[in-house]
Amino acid sequence: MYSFRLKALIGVATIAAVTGIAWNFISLPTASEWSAEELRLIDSLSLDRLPPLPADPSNAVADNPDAAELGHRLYFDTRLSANGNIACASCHKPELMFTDGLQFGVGIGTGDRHTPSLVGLSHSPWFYWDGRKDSQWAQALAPLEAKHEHAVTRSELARLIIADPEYQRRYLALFGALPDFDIPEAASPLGDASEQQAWQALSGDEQQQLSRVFANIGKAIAAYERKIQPGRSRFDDYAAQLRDSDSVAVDQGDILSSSELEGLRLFLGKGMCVTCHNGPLFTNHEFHNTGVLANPGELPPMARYDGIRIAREDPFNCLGEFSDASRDQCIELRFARDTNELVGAHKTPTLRNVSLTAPYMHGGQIQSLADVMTHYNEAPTSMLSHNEAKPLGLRRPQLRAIEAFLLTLTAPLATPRQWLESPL
Amino acid sequence: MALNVFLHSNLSIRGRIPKHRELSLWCLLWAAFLSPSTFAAEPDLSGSARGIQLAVYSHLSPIEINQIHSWEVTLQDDDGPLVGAELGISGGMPEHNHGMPTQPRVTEEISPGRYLLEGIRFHMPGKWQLTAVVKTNKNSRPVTIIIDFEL
Ligand code: HEC
Ligand code: HEC
Repeated sequence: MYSFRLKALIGVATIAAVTGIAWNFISLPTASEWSAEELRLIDSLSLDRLPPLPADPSNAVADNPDAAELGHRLYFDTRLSANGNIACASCHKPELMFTDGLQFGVGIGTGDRHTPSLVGLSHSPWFYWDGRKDSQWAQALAPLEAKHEHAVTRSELARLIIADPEYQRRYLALFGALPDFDIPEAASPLGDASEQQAWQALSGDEQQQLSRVFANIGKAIAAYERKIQPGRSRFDDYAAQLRDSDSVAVDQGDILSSSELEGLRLFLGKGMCVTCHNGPLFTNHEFHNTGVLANPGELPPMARYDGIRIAREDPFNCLGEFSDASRDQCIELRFARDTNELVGAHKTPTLRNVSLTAPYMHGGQIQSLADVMTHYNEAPTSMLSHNEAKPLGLRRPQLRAIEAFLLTLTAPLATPRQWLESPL
Repeated sequence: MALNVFLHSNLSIRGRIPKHRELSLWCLLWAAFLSPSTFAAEPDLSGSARGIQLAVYSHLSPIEINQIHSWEVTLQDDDGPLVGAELGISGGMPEHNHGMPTQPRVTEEISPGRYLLEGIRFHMPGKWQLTAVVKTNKNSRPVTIIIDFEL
């Protein structure tokens, strides 16, 4: 009797162990053909389907090559900072796909957000994790005056453009006149007490002239940022091969391994990743609550719910006096949604080159892609509002397969080398 | 459809009186507009309820995800085009329990019974459902038209 129980126990334990090992380590065979729906989705993700860069009517020099050259210089110039050490490139480093490898961006101080990649970003209608900016040029203004980033004022920037002969020449050629009054050292409506005081002492027209230079600096930087575009990855080669071949077989030679292909299938199917990470940039540029918990000590952010309200109030938005767009062209801003669904919703980031841009999420909360996969598999309850993603119930080998697929999206940028180095 | 987009976008300025040089171009455009091919154009989406027919002519055709665009929406009943109607459109993905990323609005009735709806964008592939609420002085209660489609 006793030995029977023991045997039964050993039997049950063995079955449990084998099941456990199988669950965690052995992947199931994959279907050998793509369905019509899967084929359509694969094609829609391929870089060959990337539409031409959308025009930015709010920026008259968005596609002006001279503006891109001026912007290129400004982007790498550390003189655009309080201590002479910080440029946009300090945090958005070309060699790290325009991120910094840190949890939080470090400029003059340390912020509370993770530095996102700028690759392909000019296809997005909204900027920042919470979408509080509606153009790339308006976005570029914020870090310049932010105390923890560049910490300069718009008056210092105008003085620099006037004082540097190279900048002055290029600026005048692009935008015409520069301010002709005695510009105070440090004045900004967003600065500290003395900077605000200096700003208030200016006439309305002088303030307008300085803000105009400021906006134009942003427009030149944005023209440069439009050059930063993703390159063809192994996934894109696979998608092209599939498109060109007559066969719908999953196996198309050795461009992608079987586990990468299994990952692709899950990405489109059970993982439901493609609901948000869609289109050739693997992002819908929209805002979703995916239950990423706020960092310790931070209140759960309202995110896009506040972001759209800030964007509407921004004097540099598409409808503002510094924009080159007509009211009719500001469609995203005029028709943006602002409902409660957006509480805690952050912008979906691109997954291209994601293997090079750790850590992840708006607060750099997640260290590795493996941990990202665990996050989605568990789909924790959101602290604010609701997590749109549902628990996936995938097995470990399946999560590893999705991760393997994500690694196929890394490729050198399509941007010519010269733009990736400092011109200074 | 490319031709149609061009023509429809010209419709919005049709109230203007053309001057000398513009006139010939104008006639050309009208001739093209009145050509049978335009009337034969298939709507991108359509639906009906309680005797009201709704048809969507998208400026982006076929409709694709992640691109903001406008629609021209025609409303008619058995007596012809519904003039001066109030049209509200909302949409969402029933399976994902969320709505559109934008708040589209009718900004103009560009010709009798033909309404310009701006600010349309869909952000996910899959099954979408539109709810159009039509108010006219003919009906005492608003008429709701549901349109299901897949992107
Ligand atoms: C101190 C580091 C730092 C510096 C310097 C910096 N950034 Fe950023 N950048 C960040 C961080 C962090 C975010 C995300 C902040 C947020 O969403 O609230 C960001 C966001 C952005 C975004 C929006 C990305 C998106 O996905 O929407 C753009 C574009 C950008 N920065 C461009 C620039 C430009 C141009 C400059 C120079 C004028 C610059 N940054 C300077 C850290 C930095
Ligand atoms: C409901 C929309 C949605 C779905 C579904 C979704 N994501 Fe995301 N993803 C997001 C958003 C939004 C973020 C940013 C969240 C944040 O920062 O709080 C994100 C972030 C990420 C990141 C981090 C990228 C970075 O640069 O920080 C990775 C990797 C990622 N998702 C992969 C996936 C995979 C793989 C799946 C499928 C298993 C998936 N996502 C499903 C919306 C989604």
